[in-house]
Amino acid sequence: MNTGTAVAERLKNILLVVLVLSTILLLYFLWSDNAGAGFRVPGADGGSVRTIPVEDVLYPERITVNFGAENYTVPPETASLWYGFAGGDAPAFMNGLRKFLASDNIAVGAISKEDFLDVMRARSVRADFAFAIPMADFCAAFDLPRPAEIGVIDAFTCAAYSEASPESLFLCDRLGDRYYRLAMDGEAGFKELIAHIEASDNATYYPLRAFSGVENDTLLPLDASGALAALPYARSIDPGDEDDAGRMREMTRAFFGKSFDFTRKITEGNGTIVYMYGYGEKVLVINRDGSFEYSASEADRGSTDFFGALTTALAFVASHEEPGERAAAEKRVYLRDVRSSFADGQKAYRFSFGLDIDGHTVYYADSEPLAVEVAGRQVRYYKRDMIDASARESGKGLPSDAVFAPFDLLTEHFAYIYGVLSEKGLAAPPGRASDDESVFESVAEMVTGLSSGLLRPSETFFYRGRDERGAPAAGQNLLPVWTLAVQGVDFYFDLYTGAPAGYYGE
Amino acid sequence: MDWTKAKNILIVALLVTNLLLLGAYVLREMQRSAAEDEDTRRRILTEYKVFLETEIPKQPAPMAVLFVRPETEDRARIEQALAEQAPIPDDDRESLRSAANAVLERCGLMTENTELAAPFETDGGATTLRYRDVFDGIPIEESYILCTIKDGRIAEIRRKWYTPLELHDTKGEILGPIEALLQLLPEKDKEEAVVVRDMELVYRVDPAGPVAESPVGDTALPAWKITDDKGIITYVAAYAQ
Repeated sequence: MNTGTAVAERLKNILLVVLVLSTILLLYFLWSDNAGAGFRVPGADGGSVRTIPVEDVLYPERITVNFGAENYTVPPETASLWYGFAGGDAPAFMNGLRKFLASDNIAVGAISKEDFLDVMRARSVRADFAFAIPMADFCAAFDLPRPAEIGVIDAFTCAAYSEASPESLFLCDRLGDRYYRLAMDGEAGFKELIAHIEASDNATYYPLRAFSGVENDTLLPLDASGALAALPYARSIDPGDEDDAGRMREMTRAFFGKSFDFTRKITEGNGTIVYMYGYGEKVLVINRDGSFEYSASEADRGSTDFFGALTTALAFVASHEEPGERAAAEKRVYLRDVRSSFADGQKAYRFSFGLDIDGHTVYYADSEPLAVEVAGRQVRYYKRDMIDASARESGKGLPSDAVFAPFDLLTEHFAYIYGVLSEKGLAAPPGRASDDESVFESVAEMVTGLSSGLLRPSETFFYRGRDERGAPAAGQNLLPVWTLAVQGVDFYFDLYTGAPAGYYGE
Repeated sequence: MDWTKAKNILIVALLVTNLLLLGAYVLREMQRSAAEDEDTRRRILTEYKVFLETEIPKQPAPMAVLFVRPETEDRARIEQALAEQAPIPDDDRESLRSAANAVLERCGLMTENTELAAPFETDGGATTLRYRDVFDGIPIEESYILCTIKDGRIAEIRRKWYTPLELHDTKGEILGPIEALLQLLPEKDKEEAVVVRDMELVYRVDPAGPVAESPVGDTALPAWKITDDKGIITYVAAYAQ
């Protein structure tokens, strides 16, 4: 082949490539209804979307360690114990889980609840979530191996390990009352996790039966997680303050984008501001106290799984924060509850978040700091009721022995608790013949949890110290409390005097 | 295999294909731009039996939303003004207008935006004067004062009023009048004829919004008000999406 022919052939090759590419491009323009609008070279800011990593909010509600001999602890740092943020091979639940699922030979079998509880009486560790996590989605989201054997496990609320069966990992779905034992060859490394927690300085917990004599395994701390004083809190934004108008505008614009300037704004006499786009396609209600609710009726017929919906929710939260909020170092938002529903053949998820301030749980009682509802890839409801406060200086100088003894809450207030439960129809009305001892035992049997934290009083929930208008009497203060969970009702008691501070529950 | 020949055939085939695709694309784009042509739109309206018996308004300039304050009536002041009014000497239009204006002035209801609408409505022995709320030459819908005159006296004053406060600082493009009429088509029975008797651009506070217990501020958005020969009014949101 001479040089001229070779050049001609090369040109033909190039021409062929160009023609094929132009054919594809023309087909795209022709078939796409709105190709002109959709075909865009990404702009400088087009690809940057703020989000919150799933690991920042999804971790167990509590990790319980049984050191044996009825000696327990509930370490506060559940997130780092679950993920092992220290990195590498630091003892962590996820590392053990990954190692376990990657093993060649796994056997999965269903066990009874009694067997599960029995094995957990030995030296063990368990991580409990407040909601069920779909197993397949979980493995996919965290890039965990997914052996075929675990296909029988739909979802889990709890992962556990016991030295009574060191070759096993236990997964259970409390909500579905299903318990599984996964067995492998060798050990998964949870012993190190227990030893790591044991070496740390942790509060001691004992089962209620050790105090009361009733058969109740609920763990009670011997002490509060730290001395705390009433804590003033504030909003980072005040809708009624002229100085905040610019920031309010910036925040509101984030919900409506370019259509914000053509959105209807309604101001109510009580200070509530409602923004509405179109015929209610998007509605944002900003309350006088700075909390707000957003709802969108735009339909997205797409489908998504648990983690897809959670990622959508977190991206939305990140891009719709109140401007000027304090750095997250003091506040920590975590996933507290997940509910799924089906409507019009589409699955929707409602994510409800809780709030910690400097490691102390903030109890909202009848409300929640943050909630997002996602259907398809669309956020259709968003509620934000966040507060700013710092607990770092709070409680310094307060003697820790001034904290009211947790078990005394039961012995002093069992009659009050029983009375409330009776009113709500959750306990039989106290009969004439019933004596204090039987009432006490009834209450003690129904206790499901005890913890300390900060209570945010609200206008609709009963608490002591409210003024005549029903507003918090002492201004905006978070109150240090014990929270005793009994039959789905949370009873709040002053952390120092043990005086009842209110209750909330169905 | 003769690759040189095969390449030639492929190049010709792809060239022909591309020319056909390009032709189809250009044709579609031409049809699209033609559809945007006003004559075509009028033709579409006629096809759907929408007939215009009014002058088509001009294409409006971009407009901003208007913030308004819903007003409540000072019933006591109105009742007092009605009790103290002088009898109306004549029943000619000018006398009725002067008397109504005087009472409204006394009630503090005559503002720079209050404008008497025509014609007067008569029902039996009563005549009703309707005042409307006009901002910058554009009426605010659902904002009015009704003054009923009977037996030589102003018998009743009813009022629903939005006081214009300020315009938003951002303006948006407004749908042209024909485009607004095209918005009616999707919900219209193609066989049913509609005769458009009147068409004007208004500000409107959507009554279908959230129920506010005591609103102190609201927003009026531009809308096309289309009235047909049966007196049925249809509003079309006027912002071009």
